[in-house]
Amino acid sequence: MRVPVDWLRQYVETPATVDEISRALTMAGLEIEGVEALGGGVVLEVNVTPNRPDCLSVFGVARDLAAIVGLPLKPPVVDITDNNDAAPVTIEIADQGLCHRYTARVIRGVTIGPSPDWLKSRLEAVGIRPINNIVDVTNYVLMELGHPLHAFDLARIRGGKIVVKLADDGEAFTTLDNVERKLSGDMLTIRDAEGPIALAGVMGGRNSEVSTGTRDILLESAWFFPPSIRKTSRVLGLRSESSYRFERGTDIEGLAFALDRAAAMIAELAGGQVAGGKIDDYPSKYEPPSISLAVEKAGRILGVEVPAPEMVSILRRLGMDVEENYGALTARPPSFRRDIVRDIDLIEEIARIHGYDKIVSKMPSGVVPMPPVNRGREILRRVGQTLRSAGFSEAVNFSFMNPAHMDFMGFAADDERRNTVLLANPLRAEESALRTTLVPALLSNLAWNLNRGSDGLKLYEISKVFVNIGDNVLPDEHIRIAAVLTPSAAKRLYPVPAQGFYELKGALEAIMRELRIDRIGAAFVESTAEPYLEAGRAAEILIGGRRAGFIGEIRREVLAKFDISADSYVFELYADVVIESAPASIKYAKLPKFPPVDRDMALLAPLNMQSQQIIDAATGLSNSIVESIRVFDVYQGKGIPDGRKSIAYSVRYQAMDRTLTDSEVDAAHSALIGHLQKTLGVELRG
Amino acid sequence: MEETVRHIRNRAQEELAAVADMRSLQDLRVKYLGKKGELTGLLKSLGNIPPEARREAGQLVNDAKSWFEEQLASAEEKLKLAEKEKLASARRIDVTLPGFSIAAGRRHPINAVLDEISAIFVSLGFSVEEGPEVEDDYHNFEALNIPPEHPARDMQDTFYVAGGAGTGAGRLLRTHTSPVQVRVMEQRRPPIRIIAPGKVYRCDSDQTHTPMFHQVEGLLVDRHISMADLNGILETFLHAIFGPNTPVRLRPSFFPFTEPSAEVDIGCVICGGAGCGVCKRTGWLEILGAGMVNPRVFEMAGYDPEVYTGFAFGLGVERIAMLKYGIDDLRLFFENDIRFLGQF
Repeated sequence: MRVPVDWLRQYVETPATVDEISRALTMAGLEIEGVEALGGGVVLEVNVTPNRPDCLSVFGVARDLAAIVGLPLKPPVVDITDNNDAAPVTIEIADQGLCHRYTARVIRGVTIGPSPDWLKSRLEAVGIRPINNIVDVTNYVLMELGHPLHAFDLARIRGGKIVVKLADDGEAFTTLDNVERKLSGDMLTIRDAEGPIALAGVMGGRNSEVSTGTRDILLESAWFFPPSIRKTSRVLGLRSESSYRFERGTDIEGLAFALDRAAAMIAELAGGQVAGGKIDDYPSKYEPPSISLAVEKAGRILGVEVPAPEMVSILRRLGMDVEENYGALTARPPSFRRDIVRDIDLIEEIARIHGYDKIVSKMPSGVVPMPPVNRGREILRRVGQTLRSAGFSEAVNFSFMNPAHMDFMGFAADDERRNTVLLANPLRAEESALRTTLVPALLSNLAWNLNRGSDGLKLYEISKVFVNIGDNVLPDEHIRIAAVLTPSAAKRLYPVPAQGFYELKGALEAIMRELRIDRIGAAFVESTAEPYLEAGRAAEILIGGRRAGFIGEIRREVLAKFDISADSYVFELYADVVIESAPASIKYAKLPKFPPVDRDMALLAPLNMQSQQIIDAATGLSNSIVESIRVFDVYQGKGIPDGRKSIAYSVRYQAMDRTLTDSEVDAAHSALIGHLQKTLGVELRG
Repeated sequence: MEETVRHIRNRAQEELAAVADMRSLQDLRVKYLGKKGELTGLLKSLGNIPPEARREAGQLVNDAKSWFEEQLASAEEKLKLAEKEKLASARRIDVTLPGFSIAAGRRHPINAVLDEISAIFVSLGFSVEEGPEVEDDYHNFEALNIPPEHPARDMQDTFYVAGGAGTGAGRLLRTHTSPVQVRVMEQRRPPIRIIAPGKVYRCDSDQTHTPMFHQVEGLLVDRHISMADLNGILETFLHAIFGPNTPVRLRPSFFPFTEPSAEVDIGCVICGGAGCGVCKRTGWLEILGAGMVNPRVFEMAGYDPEVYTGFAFGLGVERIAMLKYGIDDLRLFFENDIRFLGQF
């Protein structure tokens, strides 16, 4: 709301400077968002919150300022004479729930023409384009008093009759902006004997518009039910200064004064004569609520004692009738403050005028509640920490997804990740679905960084994905942990292909160790289930036998879609499985009292044999003193027969009850090798 | 005899000066002091000289022996030191070479700030709560005293979910983290002290708005909670984040779910309150919204507003991160450029 300061001073004669006025308004809830110098004067940009439609006018702001600073308010003077002439039109409010009052006046013999300069410049100062003296006056009074008015050409009202009534469903109507609109049965219209002439509170009609030839004017000032106006305006996509105020609530008592003010101004500026016989149909007479407030309660809520006489003074300055007896106040708010209904509303008014700066600062007393610890959050914090230690930086992407990416990823028609939550009003088609996987966004991040000369990238994200499970229920929301990597020139761990796979897998295993998930058994099972992962270079992750996600190399075709030329590896882990699998407590295992013995073995295995098969076979050996077995080298090439590779393991032997003798370990080691030879057909490398 | 001893001493001294390693030192020791050594030999030959001169001669030889032992010991000391130095020099490394890179990744700045905010509130007895990001109209609006067709709905441009019963009536992307307070109140009785950090969504995208951003909601409900407590908690929080001398002010505002409501400003951290472009020359920065929980919200949650009072607040994480780190472009947060992420 733009408020020229000289116009404001017309109603409150304050010696305060512009800065002082700005500060007083801001600190009382009417925030001054900007101060603009304009034609020798100053215009304040006031941020009026939705609860304060009474301040959507210069006079309204002045009224609040007068209450804040405690100065008298000088309303505009209106000189108009009523007589008992019969009203030239009849009024019928058919839908009284939506229109509580309808007033109108007729001004005869006007001459349409330009407004005087002072009026034009005031309108321009508040951001309204001058049109002609009739329209300009209605706009001027709108900005001055905050009440929307509408001027009809009286000659074009058919049948001498105004009816306030819901539209016929499907009815066509052309509004002032020359757009034909299809009305629905819940839209309130102003009609004459034949049909609609205005969309109540929103916009007038072409068929009754004031034009250069207009001689007689019917000026309307009414009160409409706010939600009804809001809905009509929203459904039609038609916002106006009028609808903006009606939907927030206008002053049902003050509207007659606005009507008189405008009628008098039209008579003065357009040379017409206000006809006698004001029309005023007021079926739902406004009754202000009577609100009582216990004085002690205000202090209890605000944490500051405001003396009762100060409370009374504040509320009276705000236009309320106030009575005080036995520690309680009874207040009846004015008709322009429909937002004040309960005692808490009075407390807020007292606080805002008394000053928030008088509220002291203290720390709350009382018991600190101890709700259950949010274990999932704590676990995910550790997962993030582990990934960062492994060199991964955290990404945060929008929760939106490009539906086309589902095809990029190669998801099958029945893939669950195609059950997206779609937005009804997305900003862009590329952001019209919610993510069902974090992978595409991370691939986009890789592309972004590669294109800017960064490489050896390691990124992770921990965010929610959303799966639509039905149109009338909230979607499933699951947290995913995903990481991507493009290999660096870092040291090669094993001289095998797909280094990045093992670099990424190492990070995943670090997470499992951190969360002690390794103790319940995590497995990597070669899989072709993920369509975007390279066959033979992808594994499903199992935790305690439960499916927990995938790891693998991204297929070339998929990378090409995302404009990535580097090899890229990814894992996506289901956080809920991780959180549920992580042991909640740790039980200490006794340390062996006797020394372990380590023996190495290098085995020749077929190329397609997985290292884990040998470990599984080894740990499956019963009555064994094998404590652990791990791979420390893989080799193929010179010295190794074609079609074979050498896998070297370090085996640790341990007994809890004795020191193992060399011969005992030798026997166990040969037994182990013999067992592997027999069951797997591997050979000991010579 | 005297002559002989002096001669041996001189020679021994010369030879000792030429010694460069332990081995030749040892040889020298044997040569003069060993069983068949020259000085030992002299001592043995004392029997051949007259008894009256024997004592004096013996003294002379013994002096020479102990002198040479001392010389040997000090030479040995020097040699050991030299050998140590030699060894050290062979093992010497260039301590100015850069260390092996342990390239730790970084926390995203938004989450770094979220962690910091959460830690402060946790230390004040608040627990961290979460809720769904796709919400229903009831929890996002109605239960927060924003009925359908209420003008306050204009304050938040809402993303609606397609499909379902009627447009707008059903599912939406939460526009604030406030629905979490509703869900917590549905499940618990006071006293309540929670914060709810998370992602929120508004249908808006330009220089200063992204369609997704982060908020932290806070709620404290108990008996006898007043605006002074709100003031105290927020002041403590803002001083922890922006420094203990940061001015904090509350001014009246409007949120449907709080009453009285307040905007909370801090003295501009850029210009120190003198007025600059960032604070629009007011000297103040709007940092969060807050207020006493509206009794209607309590009534909808089934709490008696005559028994319980409380306050709620909500703050934008991006804004705090921008002020803290001096970030001037909101979009940087979501580009995930490693050159940006690597700075935090």
